[in-house]
Amino acid sequence: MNTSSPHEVTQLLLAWNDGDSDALAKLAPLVETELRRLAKIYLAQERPGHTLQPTALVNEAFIKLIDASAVEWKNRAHFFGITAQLMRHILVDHARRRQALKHGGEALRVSLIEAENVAPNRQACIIELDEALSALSRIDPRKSRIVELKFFGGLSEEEIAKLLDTSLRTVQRDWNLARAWLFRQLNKDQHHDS
Amino acid sequence: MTRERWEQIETLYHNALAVPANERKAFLAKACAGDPSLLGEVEVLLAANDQAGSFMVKPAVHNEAKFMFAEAQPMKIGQRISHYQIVSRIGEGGMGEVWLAEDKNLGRQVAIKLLPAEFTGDADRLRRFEQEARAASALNHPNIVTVHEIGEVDGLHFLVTEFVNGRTLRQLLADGRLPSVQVLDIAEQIAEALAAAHGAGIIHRDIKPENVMLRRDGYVKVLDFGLAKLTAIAPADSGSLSQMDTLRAAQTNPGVILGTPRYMSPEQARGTGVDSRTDLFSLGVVIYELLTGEPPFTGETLSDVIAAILMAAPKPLAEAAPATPPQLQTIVGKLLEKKTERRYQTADELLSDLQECKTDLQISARMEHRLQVSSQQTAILPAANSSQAFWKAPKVWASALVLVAAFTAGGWWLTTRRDSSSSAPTVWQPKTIMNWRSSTTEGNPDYRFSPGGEFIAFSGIHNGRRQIHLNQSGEDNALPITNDEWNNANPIWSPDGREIAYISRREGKAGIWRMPKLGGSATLIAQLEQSSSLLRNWSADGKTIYYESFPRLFMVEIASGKVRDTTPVGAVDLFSRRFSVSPDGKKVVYRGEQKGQEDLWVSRLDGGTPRQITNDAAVDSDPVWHPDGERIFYSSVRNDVNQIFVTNPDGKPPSQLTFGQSDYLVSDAIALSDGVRIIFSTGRNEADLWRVNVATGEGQQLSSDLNFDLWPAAAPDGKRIAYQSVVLREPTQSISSEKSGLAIRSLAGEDKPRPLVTGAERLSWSPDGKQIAFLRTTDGKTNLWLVEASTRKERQLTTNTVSASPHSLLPRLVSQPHDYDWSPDSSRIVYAYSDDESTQLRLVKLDDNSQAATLHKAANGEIFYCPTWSPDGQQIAFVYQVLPDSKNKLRWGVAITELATGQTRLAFQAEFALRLLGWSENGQDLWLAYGSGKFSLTAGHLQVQISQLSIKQQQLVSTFALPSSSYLYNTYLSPNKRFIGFTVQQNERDSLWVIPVTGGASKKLVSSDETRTYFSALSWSPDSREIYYGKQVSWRLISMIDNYK
Repeated sequence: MNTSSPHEVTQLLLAWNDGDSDALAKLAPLVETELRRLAKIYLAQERPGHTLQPTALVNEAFIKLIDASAVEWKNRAHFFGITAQLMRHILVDHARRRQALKHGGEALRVSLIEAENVAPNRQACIIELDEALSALSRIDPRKSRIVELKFFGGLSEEEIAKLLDTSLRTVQRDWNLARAWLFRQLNKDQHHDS
Repeated sequence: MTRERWEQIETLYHNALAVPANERKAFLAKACAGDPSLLGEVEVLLAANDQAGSFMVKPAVHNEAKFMFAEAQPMKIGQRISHYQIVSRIGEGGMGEVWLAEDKNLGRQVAIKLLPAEFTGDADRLRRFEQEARAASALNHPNIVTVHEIGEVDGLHFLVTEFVNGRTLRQLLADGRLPSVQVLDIAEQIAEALAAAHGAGIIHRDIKPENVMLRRDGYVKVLDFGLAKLTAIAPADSGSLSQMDTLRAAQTNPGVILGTPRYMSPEQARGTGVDSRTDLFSLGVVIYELLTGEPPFTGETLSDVIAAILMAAPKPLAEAAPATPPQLQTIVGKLLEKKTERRYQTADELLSDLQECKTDLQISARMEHRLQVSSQQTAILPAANSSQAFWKAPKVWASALVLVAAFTAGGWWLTTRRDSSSSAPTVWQPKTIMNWRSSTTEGNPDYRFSPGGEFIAFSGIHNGRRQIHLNQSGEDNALPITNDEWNNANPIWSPDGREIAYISRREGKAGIWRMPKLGGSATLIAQLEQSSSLLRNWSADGKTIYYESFPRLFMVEIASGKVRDTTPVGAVDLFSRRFSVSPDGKKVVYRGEQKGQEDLWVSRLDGGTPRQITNDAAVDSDPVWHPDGERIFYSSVRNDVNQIFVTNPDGKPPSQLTFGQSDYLVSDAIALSDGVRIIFSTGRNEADLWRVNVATGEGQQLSSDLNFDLWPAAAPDGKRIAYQSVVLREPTQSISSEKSGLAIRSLAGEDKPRPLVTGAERLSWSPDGKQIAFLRTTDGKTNLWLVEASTRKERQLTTNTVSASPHSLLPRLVSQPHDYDWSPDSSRIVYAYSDDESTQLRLVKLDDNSQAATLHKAANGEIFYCPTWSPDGQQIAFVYQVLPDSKNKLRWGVAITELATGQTRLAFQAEFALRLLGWSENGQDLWLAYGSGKFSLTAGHLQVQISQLSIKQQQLVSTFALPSSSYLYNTYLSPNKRFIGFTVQQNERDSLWVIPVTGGASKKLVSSDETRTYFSALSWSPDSREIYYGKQVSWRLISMIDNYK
């Protein structure tokens, strides 16, 4: 029996939310393990024409790890705010570890764009994005938060508006500018070259 | 960039976007007249917006998850890897799954093992592993498994070896201990393999029963030479510890790799260099286990095992396996010598002793046989007990040998004991400062000494919020010195000891505040950007405070509130740092991660290259400077448990100070006149079972052991009680099957609890009282099992997963009273099941082995909870939850399935979480509980409503409220359907209440006399006269090492 994960995750999440930053270090591998476990189950049951839904996977991971029925809507959104931050750490860390393992080849550069749209100068690494996002947070914390919720947490703009108690319009405008700013940060070198 | 400038850019950007594209240039030229740099900034952003395309349109996980999938890709039967076709799964090895495959080119059977990606990323290490594995294989030794190929396809590394048709020693041990003769034979063959490998300079480093196979024809094969080199976390040439690494791997990948330190040599456990003699020790452990069926060094926790390896003498074989020939006892004793120089020095030396022993045994066996034959012939002598008699045989012949052997065996016993005491490291005995009764979500805060050591400041929960507490030297208690509506944490002392600075989170914003040490008004020093910041140090001159905002270190000037980023330049890639600034303010130590290894690093705050100060496979954390500014105290994981270490400035390896059983996490260290005082903490969790009489309020404790006892359930005859019992020290400690089980005890007498089954949770008695159903999780799948209460005979009931709440250890987070339900006639069980396609209610019959039948099915996106049988057995009510999508909110409802027709109808829908308490006595109504008002995940306090749902009218026909601060998840309907038992939490104290379902006056039965004691998992007696419950307490044990020199 391995009941450790759900038990731990809820507690650690609460502890982390309460300011115990160490909980994060313990939390991330647990969530990642659960993600991988689910991925394995999904693959084992894979059928022709069945495509994986990573976002659904993440939601499922959290729903399994945390008693989602316990959380009411307002709290649920708040909760997803926390998980967005957590997902950011997990994904960036995962990318970092991959990078460390593979000695930084091209292969590890994650395209943030759908494959068909990829132009070489638009490729960006999730690690660089993470750094750019931290830079953005120093200029404009709210926009950085919105990016975190939308891009890392997979929340809809409506959900973000609700969570941040602001209008949908503000979220859309902030997202637009933040995305342009981040895109520019990540392509700065190319930009100067051209 | 200033705030104003940014806002200017933002406004212009949006205004320009609102203008048609062809007019933008003109618009911007006009708007930015005289400010070309503003124009430039906005233009660049507009251009970026045009070019961005689908940049970041898909959530990050969309792409990153692909890599996780790739890593999780399992092998499939029939799949081809290179020219190998997978035939079947052989088993789970220490490194992952092993598969039987057919080599299509050569038409032979082979074994294939996938090498986990986390180990194959390092090309250097992979090369070293290949070299060693090939070198061992090239010895062409009959007892060493032949490596055919180490290949790679699509980035997937795999190891192809000869297929050994047989069983591992671990599998053999599953059937019990082996006879001495067979052990001797196996030992001899392993020693042969080791002698050959050692001769070629190859050390195995990971000899254990899993790595040795016995082929059907009697040949022994040693597997996985070189693999330890691949999995070593530390560079392979620094004397790395394969067995330690297995542990570390088990921590980072729970459930994937299971490690055991039982076969580790003392030098591996200490982390000092290993040589070929390490393999000999491990072989000694294996032989001992083969002879006795038990490993020589055991313990409840991993640290106990390690302590045993380092210090304890194993139970002498003469006692543990008296049939063992004394010669073999002596050999094992010499293999298990703690000091390498007392052990066999080479495998050859061992081999010759083993062979001699074998020869002697054969002689005595022959003589024994002759004796038996003669006894049969004469029919006078009684038949000898052959297993006992192997070495007893003819007295005259053997007496000298026995005498010598017995002496040697005794000598070993004595020398090992003496040895262990002389070679044991200095153990600093921790002193308890305080047993802090904590809330379950308190986490692991920092504990900080005041400069003189008279006080300890820390954050603890008070009235539901995190507040700064102060412990005064000599007191086993602490008092809050803040008591406001905010969360206050991370106190640090000013160098003069008069003030405390802390982080206060107010309306979502965190700030650094300061206040006099004994309380008083607080003043703001600086607002922080990140709410999850941690205060680290107050500078010696009192002018600045260092704090950590993940993942950077900042310094704030107290007088001005000015903040400066002081993260050391070139700090290695980090995940979580925990900076600690040296007493002189010149250096900083922090946790850093490099190549998957978490070590400690020191940087100068004024620049320069970071210096790595620990380099080991274990996770090093929580560094704190020794007041001398040279040494560093820190916690490091040894066998799953954090122990305290101190670095040595002269380049010697760090010294281990503690050998405790639960995590010691270093918080602080100060210099006092008599030495250094180090403070650290550990957590503990306990739960005992209690009963209370509903009429009289009289209570009684039912269990009082150190286990975590919860989920009591009385048998239908009311005479016995079954419950879940878990060995659990840390609140967050993971539990494994051997640590959790069901126990049963009489409700009448004083008799001891009787263990029923292990690896079980969420039990439920059959209504006829004969069996107990429970859930057991194996391979990540939870299934229903049954155990007969009288015979303890168990069997698995379902085979494809039961949906269950994952919180059996935290009953207060379990939203429904049960996960599955017995039919009133005890013939069937109903449960919920869901996969990625659908969610189903299923019925499983006990009396036949047919598949569970689907009762009701819904598309994915719905989750079913708490199926509950109606009293007449004709209907099943259940709670469903519809997951939110872009259009809909999360919704809940209650539905009822008619068993005769299979029809399911909705009875009620709501936008709030429902808890299904049960059916009314006449089967016409259902009782529901739900919360309203403010909900806190931490405390869970709600205004709880109880409603009667009329099934016919499909609406709530009566509703009443429980007293305020009732706990929704502790509401339970009595079996006679007349009362609801529930708990109330006020001022950190739980009390247990009952209320009639007619909504009359509620009655308090029992209240906790101590704070932060939680009542959970209530359970009614069958006659509705008593309630059983678990009383749960958490502590943080704060301890210190005093007078450390």
